[in-house]
Amino acid sequence: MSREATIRQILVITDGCSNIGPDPVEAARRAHRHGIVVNVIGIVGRGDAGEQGYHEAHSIADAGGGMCRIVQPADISATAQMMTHQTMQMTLQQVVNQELLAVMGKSTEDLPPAERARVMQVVEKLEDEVALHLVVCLDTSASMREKIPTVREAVRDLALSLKVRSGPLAVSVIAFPGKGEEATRLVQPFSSEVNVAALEAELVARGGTPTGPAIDHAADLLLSNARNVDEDAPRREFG
Amino acid sequence: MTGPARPLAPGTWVEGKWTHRRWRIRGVLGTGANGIVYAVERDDGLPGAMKVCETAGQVAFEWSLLNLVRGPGSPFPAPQQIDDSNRAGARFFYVMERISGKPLDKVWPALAPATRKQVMIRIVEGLAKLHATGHAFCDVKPQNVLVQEASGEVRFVDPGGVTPFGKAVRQFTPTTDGAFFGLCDRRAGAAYDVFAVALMAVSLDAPSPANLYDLPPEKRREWLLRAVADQVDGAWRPVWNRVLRREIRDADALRAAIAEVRVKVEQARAGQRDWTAAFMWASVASAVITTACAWALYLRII
Ligand SMILES: Nc1ncnc2c1ncn2[C@@H]1O[C@H](COP(=O)(O)OP(=O)(O)OP(=O)(O)O)[C@@H](O)[C@H]1O
Ligand SMILES: [Mg+2]
Repeated sequence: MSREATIRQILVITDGCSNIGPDPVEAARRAHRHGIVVNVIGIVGRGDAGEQGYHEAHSIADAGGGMCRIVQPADISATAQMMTHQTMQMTLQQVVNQELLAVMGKSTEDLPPAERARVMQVVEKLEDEVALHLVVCLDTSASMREKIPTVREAVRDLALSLKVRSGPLAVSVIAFPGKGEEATRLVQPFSSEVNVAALEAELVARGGTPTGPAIDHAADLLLSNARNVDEDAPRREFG
Repeated sequence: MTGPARPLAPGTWVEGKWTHRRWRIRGVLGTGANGIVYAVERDDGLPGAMKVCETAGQVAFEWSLLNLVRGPGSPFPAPQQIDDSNRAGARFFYVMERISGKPLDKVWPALAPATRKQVMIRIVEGLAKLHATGHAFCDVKPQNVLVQEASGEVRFVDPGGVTPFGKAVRQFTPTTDGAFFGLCDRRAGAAYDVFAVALMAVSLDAPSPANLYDLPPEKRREWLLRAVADQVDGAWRPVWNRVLRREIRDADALRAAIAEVRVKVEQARAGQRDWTAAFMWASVASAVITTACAWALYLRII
């Protein structure tokens, strides 16, 4: 089962409020309807983002079926890995729950606690073997200028964590805003590794914060990638 | 998902749905990324530590790891019970042996050189025992190593990172993660834990600079090598350098290398104790004077 399954996630890293384009919460909801999980890391600024930024970050994650954490720049990489891991686990847990319900008429929580451990070991094994398609959306608005080196290293670091899993990995990175009038920009297409040179060249802080368009762009990438892959073999989709 | 709510108040009873046992909350032992750990007492008086996580799955998974590493002489807390309750704030939990002692980073500054060596050896022995089962700890960090100051005994907490050799590390802390410094893969193995011990030791003597996170792994490694050269106790320098040069890759080799460390004889220690005593007397004296002044003011003597 695990070999043909794919988990799709979007990770948004931002330090503030969206101010351009469609509502990011709606964009996250749309993505989640297609089986994509949206996680958000909010970076603690010098009070600039404030209440509103935190509120938005949490609302995006809620609508996207993912998690949200507000952290210091130094904690981005460990947090990104923890969230990716935990939300993959959540997705797989849901799948396993559905199966338990179908087969036994029970969910994990109905099992005696000691028996749940066996279910979790299955989940753990699936997590290691499942294919992961991830789009990282990086806020490169003007306020991010000083944090960009930390964010760049955090993305490189996340790839280090993900590439040692047994399952196939495809990561793509987009930055928002894009060049000129564009709301977003593709920093790297899907690939099994993060292209650090591209990150170094492309991450330049400027302009506003089109978070909604970035999530829409990421979802498009994931869905068109899914269609391409679908043509090769019959696949089983999660979500 | 919402964040953790307020911790349960001391005195609260938590009743297990499956075992029908009851535990009384004594206080909070610690919180982490995965949950909160309470000091508890079972209805029959057995002391324990209760870990509460947000999901039933997380609790069950850690419980299975705790059972994996159990056994006589295990460095990890012995498992006691896993259960659910209807109490908000303790829906899913397990209870384990309560470990006494303080986190390594808290006791380290006050440890004599010979005790430091003892502690390091015990940490590595604990890892060797775990590695013999084909698992790595993968979360070696000062907060997860509890030291009993009197005896120098060492125990580990938080089995959440324990991983079979060869699998991806589940969660990491940058300052004790070899991959963060470009030393190794983020993959469970004896070498991963050995790097973590060295990084932990360096971190105890040399706080990492804030800009470390902006640097690529090669530059972080350069900082590390400089920190070992400049800030780490000279007696230990050869051991950590050999680890960083990848010459020491398992717990037994590390244990042997640490056994060779020649620590200074207690000397600085006596001076330190004198200083502490002097400081204590000074504070007592100043407290007395302050109180006297307060009374004097109150009674309008001055
Ligand atoms: N059995 C125990 N006995 C005494 N103290 C404990 C015990 N287990 C945990 N603690 C304390 O609680 C703290 C948090 O526990 P633990 O590390 O298990 O949580 P966590 O959520 O997994 O944390 P982390 O963020 O490190 O992953 C520990 O650092 C330790 O101080
Ligand atoms: Mg811990």
